[in-house]
Amino acid sequence: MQSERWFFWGDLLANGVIGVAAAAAGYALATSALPVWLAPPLALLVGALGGMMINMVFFSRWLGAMETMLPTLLSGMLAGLIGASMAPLGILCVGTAGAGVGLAVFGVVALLQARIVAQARRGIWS
Amino acid sequence: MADGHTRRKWDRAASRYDFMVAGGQERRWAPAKRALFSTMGTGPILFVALGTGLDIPHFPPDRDITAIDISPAMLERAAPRVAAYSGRLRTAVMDVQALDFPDAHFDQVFTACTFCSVPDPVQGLRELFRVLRPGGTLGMFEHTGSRYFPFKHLLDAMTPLSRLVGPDLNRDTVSNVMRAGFDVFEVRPVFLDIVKTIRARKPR
Repeated sequence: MQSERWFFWGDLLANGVIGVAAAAAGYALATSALPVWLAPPLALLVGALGGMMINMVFFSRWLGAMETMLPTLLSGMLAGLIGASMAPLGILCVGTAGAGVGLAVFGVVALLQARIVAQARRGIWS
Repeated sequence: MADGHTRRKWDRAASRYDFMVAGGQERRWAPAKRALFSTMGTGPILFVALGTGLDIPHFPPDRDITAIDISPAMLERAAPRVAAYSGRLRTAVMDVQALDFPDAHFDQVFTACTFCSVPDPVQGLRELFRVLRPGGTLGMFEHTGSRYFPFKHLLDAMTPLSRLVGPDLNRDTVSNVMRAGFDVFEVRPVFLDIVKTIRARKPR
């Protein structure tokens, strides 16, 4: 039970932190000298790879690679894109939105996990 | 049929394997693995892909287990954990696609994170089917592909890279188990539909 709580809060923190970092990277790209059309796709790519790298290098040691890799990749990807799109609103808004994206991805994954477990209990396997 | 490519890949990975998967990953998977291995009976058991022996502490005590791995370097690293096990635990270098055991030799077979890496998984599972006695059970802890968006697409996209250093990430192992002739009677999700335990039986 203690272990479950550790992984719950750990996953939540990892997605939030990576969301903020990726959004900040998206903001940096959007406010750089890059052409306007290039910043969002680049932010998406940098967010995805950066999110996965932060996860693999840091969080996976405590939280496990397989379980955290995909959600943090998604958090990084979406937060990077959000960061680039919301750049005119300022870094504070971007950071908050990035954290929100990370927590939302965590929530969606948790709901999907609950659904898959409930289906398996009814004998519906995937 | 010795699969030299797979052997070399896991021999190379042996020195860094514990660093990569011990810690968070093992702690997270431990309850599901312990629950699966708690179904080990007192008859002869085959454990496939022992690796560095990280699963041994999850085995119930005093069982009669034959553990194989394709990589001699992995089994070398597993030696201290093998020696510490309280029951009978023998190891052998062997390819699951060509097992050197007679038909119907084992009561149970167990695998952990194995069939993501076997080049021909259905052939490997057919070999497990052959060495199991009729009515014997197969217990697997495996990671597989997903059927959910966007995880399915991400795992498909990442597999060509992951294959270079280790496993495929997008296998449909439950279907492969059925194709090998087993009756699947339980699938328990551990993480989404990606990490799961599978239990199946060889029909009598």
